Amino acid sequence: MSILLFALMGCDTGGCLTGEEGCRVEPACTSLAFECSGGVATFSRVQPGGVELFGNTIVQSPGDWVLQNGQVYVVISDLDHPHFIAPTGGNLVDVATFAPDGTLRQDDSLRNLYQVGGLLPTEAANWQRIEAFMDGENAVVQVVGTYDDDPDVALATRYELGPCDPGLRIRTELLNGHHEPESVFLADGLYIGGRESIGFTPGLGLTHPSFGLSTLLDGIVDVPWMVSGAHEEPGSAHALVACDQESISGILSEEIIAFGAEPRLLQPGDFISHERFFGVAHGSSIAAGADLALEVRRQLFGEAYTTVTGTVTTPGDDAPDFRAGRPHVVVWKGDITPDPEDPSQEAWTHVEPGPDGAFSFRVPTGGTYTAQVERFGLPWGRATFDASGDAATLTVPMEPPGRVTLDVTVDGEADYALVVVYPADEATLAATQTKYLGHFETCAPMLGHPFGAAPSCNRVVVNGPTTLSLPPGTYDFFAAAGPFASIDVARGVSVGAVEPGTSPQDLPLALESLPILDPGMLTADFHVHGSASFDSSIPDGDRVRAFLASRLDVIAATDHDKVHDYAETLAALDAGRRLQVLVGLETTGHILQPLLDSSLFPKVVGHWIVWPLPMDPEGPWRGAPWDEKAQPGMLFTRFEDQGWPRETGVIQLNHPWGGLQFGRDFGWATALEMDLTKPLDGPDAPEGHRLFSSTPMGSRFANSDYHVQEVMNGTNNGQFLQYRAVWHYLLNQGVPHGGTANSDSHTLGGNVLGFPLNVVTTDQAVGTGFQQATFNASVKRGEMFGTNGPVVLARVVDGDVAHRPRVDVAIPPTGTLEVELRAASWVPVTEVRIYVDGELVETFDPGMADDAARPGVRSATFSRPMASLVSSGSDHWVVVEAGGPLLPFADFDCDGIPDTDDNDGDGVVTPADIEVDEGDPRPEPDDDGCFETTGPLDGIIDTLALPADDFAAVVPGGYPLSFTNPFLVDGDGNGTFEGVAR
Amino acid sequence: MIALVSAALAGACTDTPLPQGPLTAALQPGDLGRARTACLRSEVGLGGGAALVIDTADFYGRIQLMGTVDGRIALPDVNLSIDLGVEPYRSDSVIAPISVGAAGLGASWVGATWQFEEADRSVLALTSRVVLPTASGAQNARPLAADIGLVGQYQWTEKTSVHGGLTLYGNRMVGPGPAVPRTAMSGLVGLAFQPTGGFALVLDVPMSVAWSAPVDYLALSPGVRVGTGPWALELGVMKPLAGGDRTLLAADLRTSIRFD
Repeated sequence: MSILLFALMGCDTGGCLTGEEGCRVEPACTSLAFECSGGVATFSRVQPGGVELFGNTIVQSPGDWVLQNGQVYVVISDLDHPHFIAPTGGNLVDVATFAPDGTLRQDDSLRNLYQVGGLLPTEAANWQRIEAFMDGENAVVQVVGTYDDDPDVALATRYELGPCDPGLRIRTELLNGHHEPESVFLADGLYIGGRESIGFTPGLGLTHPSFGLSTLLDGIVDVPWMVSGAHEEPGSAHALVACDQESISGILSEEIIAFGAEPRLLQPGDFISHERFFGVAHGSSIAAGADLALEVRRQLFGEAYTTVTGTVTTPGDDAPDFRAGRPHVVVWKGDITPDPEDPSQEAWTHVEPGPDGAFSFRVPTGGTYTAQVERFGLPWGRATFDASGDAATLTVPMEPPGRVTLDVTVDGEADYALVVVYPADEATLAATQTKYLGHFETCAPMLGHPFGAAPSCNRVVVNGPTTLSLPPGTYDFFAAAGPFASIDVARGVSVGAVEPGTSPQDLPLALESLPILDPGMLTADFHVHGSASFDSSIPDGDRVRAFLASRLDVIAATDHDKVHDYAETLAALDAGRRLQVLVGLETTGHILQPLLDSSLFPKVVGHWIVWPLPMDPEGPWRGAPWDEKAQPGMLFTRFEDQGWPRETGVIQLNHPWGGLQFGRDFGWATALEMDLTKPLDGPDAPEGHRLFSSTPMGSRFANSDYHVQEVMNGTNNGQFLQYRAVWHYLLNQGVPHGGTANSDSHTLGGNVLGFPLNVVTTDQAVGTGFQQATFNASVKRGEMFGTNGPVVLARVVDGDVAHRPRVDVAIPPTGTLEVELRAASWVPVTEVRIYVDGELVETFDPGMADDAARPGVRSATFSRPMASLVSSGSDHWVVVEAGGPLLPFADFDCDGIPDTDDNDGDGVVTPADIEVDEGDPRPEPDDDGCFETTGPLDGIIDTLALPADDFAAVVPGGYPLSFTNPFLVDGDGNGTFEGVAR
Repeated sequence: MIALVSAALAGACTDTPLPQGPLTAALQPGDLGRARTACLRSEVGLGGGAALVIDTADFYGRIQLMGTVDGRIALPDVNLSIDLGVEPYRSDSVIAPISVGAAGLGASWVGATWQFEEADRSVLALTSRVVLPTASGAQNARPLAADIGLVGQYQWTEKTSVHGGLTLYGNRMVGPGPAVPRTAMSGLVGLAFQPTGGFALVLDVPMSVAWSAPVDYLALSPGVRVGTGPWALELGVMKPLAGGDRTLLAADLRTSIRFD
C-alpha cells in the first residue's frame, strides 16, 4: 500500500488553490435569490475616460474591473492598483447604488475591502491573477494569489453579482501549504481609517470590546451580521452576512473592521472556505444595511423580521428641521431606558430620519422594542413598539431644540469666520457633553458629526447670518478668523427650546483684521486634509469655507495617499483670489515592512508631505505614487517619477516623533528608534541613525533628502517638545532643516485650521501671479516662523547687514539679535525663551504692551549682543521662542526626547507621573536612573473643561507658542555651519 | 562467561526488554519518516510526547502534546512483525497574534517490518508504515501518509550497537480540495550503549531533506532506556541543530512491555 501511495504522491488534483489556469472557485450563497424587473449583471474594465464614479472617496481608475446590475455598481481594483493596507489590487475599492430610475448614485462610502488570513502583514492576500467571466446570468470577477511574501499559502476569491443582487456573493478559499499548522482568521478587512464609518453588530450595537495588537482575541465577537454605516451623505451602508455558517466572527475599531470565519487552526495541506454576502444599501444609517442583512438571514435561516415605519415629531416647533443636531434613532430590545453602560442591553439597529422626519427599519420579529431618539448626541425622545407581526408603526416625539442666529462680520462686512460654542457653566457642560454615537471625540455641545459636514462638534463656519440649532443651555459663542484677527465673544447666552411664533435670538459678533504682519509675509499651513483622506468626511465645500475663515493665504492640500486639489470648490466659491492651494500629498505607510535588523517588529516609515504633485484625475492615486514598502529615499524617487520637481518642490517630514496607530509609527524618528544622546553617524551611531542618512537601493535620494520638518503639529501643543527635540538634535548634528508649524486639520472638529501656521517671508502674493517655485524656495531656506498666535520677528543686525533666520546661510558670531514680538490682545505672550545649541540660555517676560501704531495688537521688543549668546571658535545656532510657559516635562528613559509631562497635576514632573495600568507595579529606575516605562506626554487634554481664557477657547489644548527658524552661526569662520562641537 | 559472550554476539537483536534501534522521538505524527528498529519483537507500549516551536521573528510558536498507544507482534516464521498504533489524544496550539488550538484524536497507523538479512552480529530489514487520516480538527482535508525504509543494526561490541536507516516518506491530502503531495527522505545513524541488561544510553543523529526545505533538519537525539523483566521505559529527546525546521525541541517518553 505504501508503494501505491507513493505512486500517487506525484498527482495533484489541481484547482484555484494550486494556481491551475482556467480554474473556477465554487459559487457562493447559492440559496439566495433576489427579484427585480429586467436586471442584467455585467462585467467590464474601466477604460481611459470611463471613470463613472466621482467624489473624494473614489479611487476608480482605468484598468479596474466593474461588476454592475442596475442595483449596485462595484469596482474591483486592478492588480497594479493597490490601496491602503492591501499589498496588491484585486480588492473592492468603490461601491455605489443605482436609484430606482437607473441613475448611478455617487454614494460610495467604501475605502477598501480586502481578504486576509490573519493580522500579520504577510497574511494579507497578494493577488496575482484576475479574470472576469459570466456564469449563467451572473457576472464574476475571480482573483487567485497567495499570502503576501509567502507563496506557500494560496488564496482564491470569487466576487459574483446576480442580475438582481443588492450586493456581492463572495467565496474565499485558503490553503495552508506550509508543513506546520497555521492560525487562520479568514476575513474581510474593511479599512475605515478612523473618523469615518462606524461598525454595528446586533446586540452590541455601536460599541465593541477594545483590543490591542497583543489582545486581539479579547475583541473578537460572534454575531449574525455586521453593518458598516457611513453616517454621512451621500453615503451607503455595507452589510456582511455569512452564508455557510450561522454567525460571523470579527473585530471592530474606528480604524478597521475585520469579519469572517471564526479563527481556527489549519493543519498543513488543509484548506478552508468562507462564503458571505456583501450587501450595499443606499443611506447614511445602519438601518440601510441592517434591513438587507435581515432579508439575507430570512432567506438563509428562516429568521422573520418586522418592518417598522415611523416618524419623529417635534410638537411645539413650527419650523422643524429634522436634520438639525443630526437626530438618529437607536432601537433596543425590550421596553427599557437605554443605558450605554449596561452591557445586558441589546441594540438592534440605528436609523436617521429623513428631512421630513420619516424613517423605516427592520428588526427581528418578536417582543417589544424601544426606539430612542438622540439629538446633539443626547437622549431626546423615546417610544416603544411591538414587533410581533410583519409590520409596525411608530411615532417618536422630540422636544424642540434651541436656536440662535449668528451674525458675524469681519471688518464690518459679512465674511467667513469660525464660531466655537462652549457651555458657559458647569450645568450646561454636564448636560451637553457627549460623543457621536459613542465614538470619536467628546464634544460639548455636539452640534453635528465631529468629523463630517458642518456644523461639527462645537464649531460652525459662517458667512453672513446663520441660524444654529443647539440643546437648551447657557453658552459662550466665540467668533474668530485666525490668529491675526480680533475675536468677539457673546458670553452667557441663555438658549431655551424654541417656542411657536418666536424667532431665534440674534447674536451679532464683530471681528477686525489686525495689522500684525508686515508686507512680504504670507501665512501658510502645509498639512491639511479633507474627505479625500481616509480619515475625514468633511465635504469640500465646508473644507474650503474653513480655509477662508482661517484667513490663511496658502494651503498645501495634503490628503493621505491621494492627490486632491479642491479646484472645483475653489472656483465655485471664487476662493482663488484670496487663497493659494499647493497641490500635494501626505504619504501614510500602512504595510509593515522589515526596517531595522535590531528590531523584532516590522515598521512603516512615518508620514511625509510633498508638494507640488500634478493631479491625475483618473490615476489610481490621482497623481500620487504607491507609497508602500519603501524607505523615504525611495518614496522621494517615486515622487519625482510622478512629476514632483526636484529643484523647486518641497518634502516635509511630518510629526517626526509619536505613537502608534495599529502598530504603525506616526514618526520616522520613532520608527528608527533614534536615541538623541547618540551621534547621528560614526561607529557609535545606532542602526537607525545610520538608516536616517542612507540611500535605499535603487533610489535616487537619501532618506535624509527632505527639506523641512514639522516642529509644531496640531492645535494641541503636547508633542511640540518631542518634535522640537528631534529638530534641535539634527541641528546640533549639522543637519539643518527648516522648521514648520501646521494644523494637520482633518475636519472642522479636532485640529483648528491656522492654529498653528507658518508665516513665510516672501515677495509672492496670492493670485494669478503667484510663483510657487519662488515661494517654495523661501520655505526651503527656512525663511519663516511658526506660531499659533504670537508673532516673533527676529533678525541679527551686523553693521548695515540684517540677517534673517535661514538654514542655508551661516552668519558670523557678531552683531545684535533684535526681536520684535506682536500678538492680538487675546493671545497672551508672557515668556520669551532663547536657545543656543538647544540649551535654554535665557527666559524672561517680554512685557507686552498695547501697540499704539497697531490697534488691537500688543507688542514688545528686545535685543541681545550675539557675543553674549555665542562664542567664536565653533559653530552654533540660535532660536527664539515666545508665548506662554512650556508645560513641565521630563525625559525618563534618557533617550534625549521628552516623554512625560505633569500627569498628576501637581505642578512638577516626577516618576509618579508615569502612568501604568491598574494592578501593574510602579516602574523602577535602572542603575543610571532611567526608566523603561514612561509617559504619557500629551499636553493639555482636558479641552472639555470650561475654557480658562479666550485663547484656550479658540485654540483648544494649545498654549501660546511661536518659534523662529535658526540663525546658523559660523563660529569657526570656515564659511559653513557644520553642527555643534560636543 | 564465554557462553554468555557468545550468546550476546549471537545476533544484533536480543531478547532484552529494552527497546532496540533508533529512539522514537520524532517530528511527524505517527513517527512518519523516522527510521525504526530492524528487530522483530512483540510488545505493547504507552507513551507521550511533546514538541515546541519558538520563532519570535515570525511571531510564531507551537506546542504539541500527544499520547500514543501502540503494539507490535512478531511473526518470526516469516521474519515479519506487524505494528499498529494510535494517538488517542493530540493537542496542537499555535501561538500567534491570534492564538488558536485544537485537541482530539490524533493519527493512527499500521506498519510492518520484514527482516530480510540476519547475520551473527547484524540485521537488515525493510520497514513500512501507513499513517491513516484519523486526526480530528481537520477543516476539509486530512493527510494520508506513508513511508518505506531500509534499516539495519550491528552489534559492534558486547555492549555497543550501531543502527541506522534510510527512509522515503510522503503524504497527500484526502478529501475535497487539492492533494498537496509532499515527499521527502530521511536518514539516521545512531549508537546504543548498554552496559547492563536494564540500562542503555542512546545517541541518534537523524536528518531529513526535502519535506519543507532543502534540508529539513539535522538533529541530535539523545535518550535513555531502563528496564527490568518484560518492562521498559525509554526517554528520548530530539534537538534540531540545522535546517529549515523551526522545532526547538521534541521529546518522547514511552513505556512498553515485551511479551515474546
